[in-house]
Amino acid sequence: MIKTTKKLTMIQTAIFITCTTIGNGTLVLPRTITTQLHSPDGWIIVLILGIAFIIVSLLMLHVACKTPTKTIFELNQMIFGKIFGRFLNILLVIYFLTLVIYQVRGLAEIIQFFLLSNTPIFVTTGVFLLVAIYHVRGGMYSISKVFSFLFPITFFVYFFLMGSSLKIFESSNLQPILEKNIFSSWTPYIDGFVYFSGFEVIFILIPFMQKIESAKKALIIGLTLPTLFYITSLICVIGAMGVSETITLTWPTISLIQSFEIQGVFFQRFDMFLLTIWIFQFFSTATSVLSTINIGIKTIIRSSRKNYILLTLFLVPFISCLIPNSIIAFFKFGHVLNYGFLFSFISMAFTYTVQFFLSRKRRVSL
Amino acid sequence: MTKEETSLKEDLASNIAYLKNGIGQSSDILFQDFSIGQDKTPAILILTEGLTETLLISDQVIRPLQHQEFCRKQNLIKCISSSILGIKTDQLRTFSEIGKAVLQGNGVLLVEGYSTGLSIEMKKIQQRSLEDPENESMLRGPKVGFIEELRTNTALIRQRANDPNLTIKEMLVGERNEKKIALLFIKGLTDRELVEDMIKRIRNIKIDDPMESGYIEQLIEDYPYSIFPQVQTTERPDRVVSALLEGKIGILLDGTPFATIAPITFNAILQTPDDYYQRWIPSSLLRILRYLSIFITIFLPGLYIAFVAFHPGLLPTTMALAIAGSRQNVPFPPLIEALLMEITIELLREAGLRLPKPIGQTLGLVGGVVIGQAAVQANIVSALMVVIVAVTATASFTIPQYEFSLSLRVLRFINMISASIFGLFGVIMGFLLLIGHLCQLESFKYEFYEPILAKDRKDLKDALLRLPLKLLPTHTQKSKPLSSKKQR
Amino acid sequence: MQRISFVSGLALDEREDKKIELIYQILLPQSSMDSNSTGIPQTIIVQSVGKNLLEAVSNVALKEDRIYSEHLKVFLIGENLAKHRNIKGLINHFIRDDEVRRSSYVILTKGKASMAIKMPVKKKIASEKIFDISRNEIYNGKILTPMRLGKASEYLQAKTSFLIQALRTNKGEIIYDGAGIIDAKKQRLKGFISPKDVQSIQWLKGETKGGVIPSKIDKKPLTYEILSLNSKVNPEIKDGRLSFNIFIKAKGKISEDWDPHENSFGKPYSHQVQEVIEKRMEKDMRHAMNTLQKKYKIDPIQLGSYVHNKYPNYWKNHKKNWDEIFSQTSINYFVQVKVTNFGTKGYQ
Repeated sequence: MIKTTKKLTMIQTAIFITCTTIGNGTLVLPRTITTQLHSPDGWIIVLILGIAFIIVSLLMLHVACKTPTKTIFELNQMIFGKIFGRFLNILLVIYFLTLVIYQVRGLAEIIQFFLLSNTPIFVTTGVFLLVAIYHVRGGMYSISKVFSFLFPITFFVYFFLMGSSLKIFESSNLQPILEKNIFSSWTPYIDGFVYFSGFEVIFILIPFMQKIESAKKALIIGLTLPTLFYITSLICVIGAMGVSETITLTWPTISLIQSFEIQGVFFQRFDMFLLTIWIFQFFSTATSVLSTINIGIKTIIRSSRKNYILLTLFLVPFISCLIPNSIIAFFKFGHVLNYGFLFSFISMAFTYTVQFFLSRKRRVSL
Repeated sequence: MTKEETSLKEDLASNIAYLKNGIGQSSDILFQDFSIGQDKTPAILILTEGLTETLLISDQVIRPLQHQEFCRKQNLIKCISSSILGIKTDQLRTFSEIGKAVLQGNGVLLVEGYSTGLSIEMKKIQQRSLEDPENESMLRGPKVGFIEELRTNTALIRQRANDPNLTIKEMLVGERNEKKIALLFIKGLTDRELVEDMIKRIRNIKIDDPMESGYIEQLIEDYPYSIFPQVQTTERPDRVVSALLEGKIGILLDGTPFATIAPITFNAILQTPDDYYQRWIPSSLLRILRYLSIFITIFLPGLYIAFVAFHPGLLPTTMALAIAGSRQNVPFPPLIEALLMEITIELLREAGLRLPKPIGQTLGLVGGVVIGQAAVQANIVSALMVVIVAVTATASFTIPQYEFSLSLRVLRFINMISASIFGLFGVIMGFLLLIGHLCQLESFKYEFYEPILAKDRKDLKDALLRLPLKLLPTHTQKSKPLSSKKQR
Repeated sequence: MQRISFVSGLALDEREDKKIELIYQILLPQSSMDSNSTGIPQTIIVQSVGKNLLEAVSNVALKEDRIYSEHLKVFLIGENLAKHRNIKGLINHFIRDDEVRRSSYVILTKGKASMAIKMPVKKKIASEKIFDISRNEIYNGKILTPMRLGKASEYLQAKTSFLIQALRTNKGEIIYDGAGIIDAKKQRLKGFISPKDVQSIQWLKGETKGGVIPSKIDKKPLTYEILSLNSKVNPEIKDGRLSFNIFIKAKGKISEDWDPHENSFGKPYSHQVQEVIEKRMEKDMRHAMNTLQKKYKIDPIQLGSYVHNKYPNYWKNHKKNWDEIFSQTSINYFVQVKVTNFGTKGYQ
């Protein structure tokens, strides 16, 4: 029995970060990066991006750990003063809102296409958001327990499916390696950038952790796992289907699972498993980001009218999800999100840089 | 209801008159008068017929008193209680105390000239013999269950746990019918805050009569609206003892053989003590089977509905064909089919509980087999549906805790409805909602549910699999993480 | 669920009036309580005609319960249709549709596809039988690795030519008979190659899973059964000229030997057997490649991808006229055969 301590362990934090980051990415990534690149080397780009992210975020984390009781929202308001700090936080909250909308809408699209063709989107979205808000109500610790339950399932099912796809894997599809110079243009990198969005949640989680020293380990694990997922997805999808075909598929990973059959005992169609775990993942990302927004709003307006905040958290995404009215608009929305993530990332980096110099100044002046 | 706090007078006759107007109205309250000693001091013994030992009355109380010579007039009552009578006595001053004492099975002695009454312990306890608890039979383990008497139950616990740190704290609950309730815990092992919290909760219970421990349970829980119970009920002393050794609190209520254990975790609901009496490999596999049964019992009918109504393509071809074939002439959509069968099973289950034993068994057989077969042949339901419902029902019986399986039944219905509206998506959303609720639930400030990855390393060895006893932490080791976590 | 039609196989044909004909083989579910259930799934054949594919598909709704294609296993494409129409366009609809699996098999038929699917077969339905025979690769090397719908789409998308298994119908029987060459540039069927050539090509690509090689030793029949076969294709560019070196290593057993002087226990005889088989294999492979290079002038076995991997620059410059270069390349064969077993009898 564990007494309710409401603090996260290292593993829980790592899983939290992973679940927030892996959202839409694994399903769509093979197509978008390969389209930019026109070669099967997308996985190398993802690897580079992953390592870069780990390094940069570790630097930011180092500064963040100096003020372990403050979330990034509180830090913003502390450093930049009430007005500008609040303004910055509001921008961040808007970015997170768009992230939620993107995820929820993405889920609704997939559900409508693969599972329920006749249900209107607002019903699926509404139900989804209601369940997510219920989880947010429970607090960060309960959410992390939910993730600790869902993530191992996702992990095993995903790698099992990818492993079985090796049946139709042809290494010639991945060769020749590095035929094209991968550094020749920025666009693939910018494109891959957005798939790491969500990892900033670590800066909200620091005050909730049991041991601050393990935050670094948690972050490394929390970023390595999504990178691993993405690389596996890229390698398996392109290896099985080749560059030219992958570019044409809307949801490459799902099509991959549909491409082969395992003469199994009970189930022949395994894409149902992929869809299930992906619904779990969309759900995790949405819940995690919604709880981040919850904390952000609480910091901005300093009120504890819990229920009103939760109601807003439900209504705003719900209504906004219905705005993009086709799947193309949805993917374009993803591009906008790119810039949002860039902004969020730079803003947080900025905050921490300023904090770094401020603390240095304090030390020097002592 | 306020009880009169009128005090006794020295005049015996007026005392008797008062009492005869009160409790004396019932015909089973006896007033036996006799005289004490050589002085022939008038005295009356008031007792409830049926609650007292008749032998005791004449042999050990009336005759010694009639023939007593030792006590002289100075403070007769005190002298009697300390020197003549060998039984436990209490001095009473108010009529309400006298009333309570008589109704609890004691005899009350009133002597002329004294405003103090003497309550003499002469209870005859009606109790049945110790039996194997019916609802919690185990393959291996002691075949003893609690009975209705609190004292016997605490004795059963003491027989099994002679740790001097085992503390039993008794309190009284109930406004009209006061019942004794006993809190059991092991001092030093159980978290002190938890004990104090529990005492406070019990003190705050306001109820006329706690007839069964179920009342107590519902009144001390934090989340009465949740589907899941946050306490565990058992009839077995060995379960209580092992719970105590884990730092939990046991609650015994006078008048019921069902003891309460709090706080509990999800895993505790799926564990039985005889897991530990058997060898580790079968026990581990059985435990995994129980987890599987929980999944089956909640989700199987829902999944069937989801697949048949929404996604037949996800099943293998031959199976899909077979299902379609068996549903050829069924007039109902899958949800109605499933609901019909489920409701039938619930009817059978409830009926089986209420019927006298011999008829109950026959009905079970008749109902299950005949109705099922007939329904299939009449094309009301498909054969596969009957199989699914039967498997689900069987799975729900493997869960050791009855209240839990009740909750699961409700969840199953909810799941079926959501599956029929949203198909697989509905099942998944239901699952997520369930997990969310589980993770938010607390049992007396202890986490109700911890996923494997969130556990302490020491608890892991007992979570999913039951590793060999040599590897499991001893209870003294376990107490350390408990105490280190509580200081926060 | 009982109100939808489970499609098990689909045949596409071109009629004489240039319209597309679709023949669906639909499974009928049977109640196990039925007294006349025979254990074999019953099927019905539904036909639909249209000017183009989608019209034909939607015309089915005029006749039958909603078509449910999640269990569709086999596509049969008729010869005429494949020769005259763009195959990529034909399968476009099916790839887009979510219900149709990318893992369904595509097979060409010599003659009309509808003949094959309508074939009454004992113990199984036609589409299932066709599906199952494709798994006999272990027993007979003349069967091509089954072509999945997704894979066909990939090849067409990448503009690579490829082979599809072909079958023909003969006196109430369905027989696998060689393969059809799909020209990626025109995206149509170009022609057929014989089953024997299919076998040789399987050896060449190292994709064979079994199969039997009948040959002669001292003019007496000798049969060698392949248990495993590895092949390595090595392109080589010398003085600007491309050539292929193909290394084949086969392991197998002798399953039949009529030679009265057989002495498999001794080394010199085994060597003789091996030489015979090696020569036979080389001869067969040369014949197959000849057909491809000289008769059809097309590379449906993706030899180009080996060149792409080893000489990416060369490939970049020459991939546009790969087919012509392919017809001119010389191919050298290095076959190594090993007899690992000869059964329970080794001497005559």
